[in-house]
Amino acid sequence: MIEGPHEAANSAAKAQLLEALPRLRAFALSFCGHPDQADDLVQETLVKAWANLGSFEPGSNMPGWLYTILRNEFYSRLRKRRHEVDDPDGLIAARLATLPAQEAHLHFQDFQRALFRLPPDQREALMLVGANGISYEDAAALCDCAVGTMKSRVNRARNRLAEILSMHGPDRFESDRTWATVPVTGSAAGTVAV
Amino acid sequence: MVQATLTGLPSDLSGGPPQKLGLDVQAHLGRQLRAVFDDMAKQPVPDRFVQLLDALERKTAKRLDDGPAPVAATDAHGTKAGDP
Repeated sequence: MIEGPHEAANSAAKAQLLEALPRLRAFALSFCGHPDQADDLVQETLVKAWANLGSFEPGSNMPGWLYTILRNEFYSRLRKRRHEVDDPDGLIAARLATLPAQEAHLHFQDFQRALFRLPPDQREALMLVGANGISYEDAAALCDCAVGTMKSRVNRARNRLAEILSMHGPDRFESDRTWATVPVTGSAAGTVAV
Repeated sequence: MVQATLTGLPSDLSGGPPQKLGLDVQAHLGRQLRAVFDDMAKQPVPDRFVQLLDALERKTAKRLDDGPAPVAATDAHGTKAGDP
């Protein structure tokens, strides 16, 4: 008797989920680094989201809601399995089909590897704030942490990335003028340990 | 004001002098981050997800036909991957 509205709502929800999928998968990949695991994570997220559609307020932020489910799932799996993510060489870097069509090709892969050397919480902070332009406040809300914590994660992550990348030597960045003109951690190669 | 917080590292992060990343380095990192993320988000969505959502929608519709029943996540495990 009330199938009409329900079906319409389900259909709308499905459309929203589909629309959110590419970015959801990107976030999942940025969490685990392994495409298969990432898609398992996404699948579980979709199933949970669907089962809990009743708790989603229509008109509110669907991507944010999905992201919360995704990260909860990721961290709960991480706790269960103690899955090791610090395996930069077996990661997406080698498996992504498309790369920016620039001479920065190699740098791009270096960058990806460096990114996956970061602790998950720092990588997440960079993905939210740095890659997606989400405010510190919103990112902190998504990650259920203090704004100051989020800022600190972003700071640490940026510095760590700069450190890792500079270990290849400044000549690796010759093609990038802005980078090459800035001695990032040239004198700090041995200090590290953030 | 955001920049001010980005350039200064909290001094308690390391024993050495506070490191500062120049704005151009931050810009470089930002470009790379966006490139990485956009590249991941550009990957085509596998059919299995579309099939999964279709299956979930069908099950929900069927349940509504059959009468109220709890929407359980376990229902959908059977649809894993949507592969035969």
